[in-house]
Amino acid sequence: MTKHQQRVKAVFHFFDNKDLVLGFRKLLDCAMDTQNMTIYKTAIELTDWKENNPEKSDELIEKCKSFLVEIEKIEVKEYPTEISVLQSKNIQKSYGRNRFSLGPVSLEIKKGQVYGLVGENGNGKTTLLRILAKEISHNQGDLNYKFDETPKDEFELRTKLVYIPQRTEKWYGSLKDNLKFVLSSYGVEPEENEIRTLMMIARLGLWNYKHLKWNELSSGYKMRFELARTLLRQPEILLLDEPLANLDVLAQQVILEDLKAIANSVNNPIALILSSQQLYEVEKISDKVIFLKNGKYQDNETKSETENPNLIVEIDTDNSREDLLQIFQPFALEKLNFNGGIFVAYFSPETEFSAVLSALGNSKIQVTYIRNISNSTRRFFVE
Amino acid sequence: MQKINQINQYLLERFPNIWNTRIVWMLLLGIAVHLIFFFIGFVSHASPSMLQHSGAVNDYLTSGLIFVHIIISVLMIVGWLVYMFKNNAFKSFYPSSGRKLFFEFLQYFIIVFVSTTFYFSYMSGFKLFINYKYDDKKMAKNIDIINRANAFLSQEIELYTLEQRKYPKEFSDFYCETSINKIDKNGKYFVYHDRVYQFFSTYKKVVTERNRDGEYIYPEQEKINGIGLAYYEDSRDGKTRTYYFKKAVVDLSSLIKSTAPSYYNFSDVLYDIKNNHSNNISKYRYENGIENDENLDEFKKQKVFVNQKTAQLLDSKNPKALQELLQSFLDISREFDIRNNLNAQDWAAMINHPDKFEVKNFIKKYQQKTGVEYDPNKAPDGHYDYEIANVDSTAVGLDNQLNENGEIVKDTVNVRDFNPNLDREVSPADYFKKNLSNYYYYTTDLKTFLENVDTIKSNDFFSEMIHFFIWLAFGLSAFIFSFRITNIRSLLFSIVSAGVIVLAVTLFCVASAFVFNMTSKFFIFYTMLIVGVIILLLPFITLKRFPKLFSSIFMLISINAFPIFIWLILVTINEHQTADCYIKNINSDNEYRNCVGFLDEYGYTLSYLILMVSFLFLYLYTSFIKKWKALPE
Repeated sequence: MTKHQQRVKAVFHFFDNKDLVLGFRKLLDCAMDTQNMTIYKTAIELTDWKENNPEKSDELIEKCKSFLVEIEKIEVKEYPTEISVLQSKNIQKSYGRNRFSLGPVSLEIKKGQVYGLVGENGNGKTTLLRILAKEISHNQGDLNYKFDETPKDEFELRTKLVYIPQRTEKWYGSLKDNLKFVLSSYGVEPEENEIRTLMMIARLGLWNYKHLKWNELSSGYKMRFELARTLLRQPEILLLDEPLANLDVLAQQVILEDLKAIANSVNNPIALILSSQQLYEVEKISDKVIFLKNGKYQDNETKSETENPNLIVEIDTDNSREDLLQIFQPFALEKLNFNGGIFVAYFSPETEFSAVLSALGNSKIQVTYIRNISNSTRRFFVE
Repeated sequence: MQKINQINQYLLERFPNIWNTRIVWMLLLGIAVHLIFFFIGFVSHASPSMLQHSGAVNDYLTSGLIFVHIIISVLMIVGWLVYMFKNNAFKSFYPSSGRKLFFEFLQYFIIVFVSTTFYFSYMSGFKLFINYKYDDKKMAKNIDIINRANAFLSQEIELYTLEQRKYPKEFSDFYCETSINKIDKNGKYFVYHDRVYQFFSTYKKVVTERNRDGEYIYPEQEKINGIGLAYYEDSRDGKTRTYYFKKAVVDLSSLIKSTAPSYYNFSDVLYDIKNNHSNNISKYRYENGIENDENLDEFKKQKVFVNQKTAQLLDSKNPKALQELLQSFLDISREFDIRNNLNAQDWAAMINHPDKFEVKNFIKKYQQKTGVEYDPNKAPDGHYDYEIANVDSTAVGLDNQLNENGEIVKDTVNVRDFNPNLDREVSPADYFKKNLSNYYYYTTDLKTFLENVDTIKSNDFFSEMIHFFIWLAFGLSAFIFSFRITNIRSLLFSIVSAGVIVLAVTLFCVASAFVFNMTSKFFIFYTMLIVGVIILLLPFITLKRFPKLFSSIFMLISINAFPIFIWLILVTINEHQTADCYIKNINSDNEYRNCVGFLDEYGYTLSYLILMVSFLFLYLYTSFIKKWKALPE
């Protein structure tokens, strides 16, 4: 069974469980992978039908399922994801004398991987992304790209490095025309232009917004349109600066899932690096989370030698420090920090998180939030 | 609307570049506006009265239409930019090539050119209308009638005096002396009040040599023998002068019926495009490099012709033929909308005084207002008309007051010696006033009208203005292109830098002139050339070494000022050529004056060359622009 067929099968399960929202998005992902214009057309028609008949969910499920059968029949070539699209070695950048300096940063990303870039404001996230996108220069280190087709010149390389800044520029004119302009600029066949554009609009959930003007869109949809424009360029690497800013929690989750799904495409995977403040959400979908503090690089895969492999637990409670110390007395508690509203408890490495949980449960104190952040970059924030 | 959308989608899917520049719509709109201007040009002078003010060929500039043109051009270009700036593939790093970029620039050029050249359409319409309404064949016929009938307009007494006579042949062959100092009292002479006329046969001497001051030498023999000079003529090529000397007095009394002003004497040519002396025509001909007085002999022949036709008509003693001529003239006048209160019958009666056909009645040049005295030198609109009726402006008039040594001769002879009855006779001026009828005819308007028609027909408005428009289009499109490939910051910095560079070069040249006494124009030229070369090289040198903004400043200056740089090279070469020529011909006065370089020689034609070179430069430069664009900040 090919990867494509496996994915189609998974989508069947969503529809079996009547999970229409996620199922339909996954269906479109599978459809998109086919790169087949007939499938695309059907997907567009189906999206249109779905939006016009929101109450007919059973009928939609039937339609989707029969469409899935069609999709499954199409052979989708799997793209090899072993080669790193981007390799950076000891990249350093410093601004002026004795001022901010970034790096050294070394990283490597393959297509289909998602990297999260986290850190507090002013720690160089945007700078790093812009360096990787060749928007700004770096002082030291090597930066290498490996694309399917080697760019002829620097300009062509820039056409392949797609970077979306946090504040995207305003679009003028019809949104659809803007999207079509991208495709025709990239030399897509005229007959495919409209179909591919509508397919992308459907996939990013913009079907009902495609006739609006830029000013009439909320910032979340603006980001989605920007994403649509970017994805139409069929990038091999995508660099997103704070795509989650200005989005509500639900929207954040949806867009992250979408990004993950798009990056994981069977035949057109994308190496994706995104920066965000939403640590928890980003960690959930990322293959690697990079933490930047004062321009210095750390990630959640490699623990530094100086760092202890402690069990680190974050607890939010109204009880006092003394109460907590009392509860944790049987454990080898190394330290208990209180930063504003949250306690961070550092236990010895052999301590079990479940034991901590049962101790808290037995003590019957009010806990509003608890999280094991031993492997999360969250631990760097609370240090 | 549906169709427009369809075309837009078609272009968007296939030719994103053309869709973005909106060239299709701009061209369609431009052509529509051009058609409107063509139509305006065609109908603007439908009424002949519109052609009765001088310089109607420039009405576009003077009638305010130019402002309409400017406003439409500005609106079109601004509107276009608003639409075009909505998308920018190059700035968004969509795939591009040098050719694509150049093609985009070319589209800007075409759009700006089409949106700013309505003048051409207006003039084409205008010219077409004039050519159609007043075609050459018809106008030649009309002018013939006008010139013949003009003899009977009797608006100026001086045109009817004896020295004007050119027919029969004797009158044009012999020289008529009118200066009383030079009258040979032993020969036959004619007197009219205070004027004396004497006819001389002449012989000529051609001189080619000049003295040190560059003036023609005066024939030595005639100077010694004291032979009177009749007049002289300079050849058109400026190489020879022909002196005409008086030989002997000729008695033409058998041919002269009266010495008083007579229609027989009239030889003035009211209208002759080739030899027109009016300021407008002369100016126009000068500006277009056409020689004035193209054919003096031809003009003389015309005078003879007018005189001959007039004399023949009078001799035929056929009042009906005269009246017919006058009627045709009045018909033409009506067609051309020339103000007058003449009718052929009364007019013919005013003329018909056989056998001498002396001028007994005069016609006014304009309608006299009550209480205001009539002044023949005053044009109808109240301005003085200094253009005193076609005096044959060869050297004839002036020379009579000069003796062979070039000194002015004062009257030493009393006119009363010739005419003892002088005090009892009516002077010509009084005679004119006394016999002034109430008829009027606006001859000036007719002349202006004819001049305008011919000027417009022969006006090459295209060659005159094309260079202005192509460089306007090039400048504007280069500026827009600069903005499209960089950003407002680079553009503003480049403008400021260009200003600073110009200032610095000027100061440097001025300072060099004062401090080191480097006043040679070549020093200035080469300073500018060196600065130009440095500016052209700087973007290449600074790329990757200096901030991106720095390279962009000089890149933009290079793009926008390249034509000036080429022009500067041409000027420098030209100056070298002329300087070289001056040195070679320092001793030869004539050659020295004729030193010209190839820039002087080819003039505006080189503008096309510079344009082509500039286009080529931009085409090649696009690869550098791409390189610059790809650079990280």
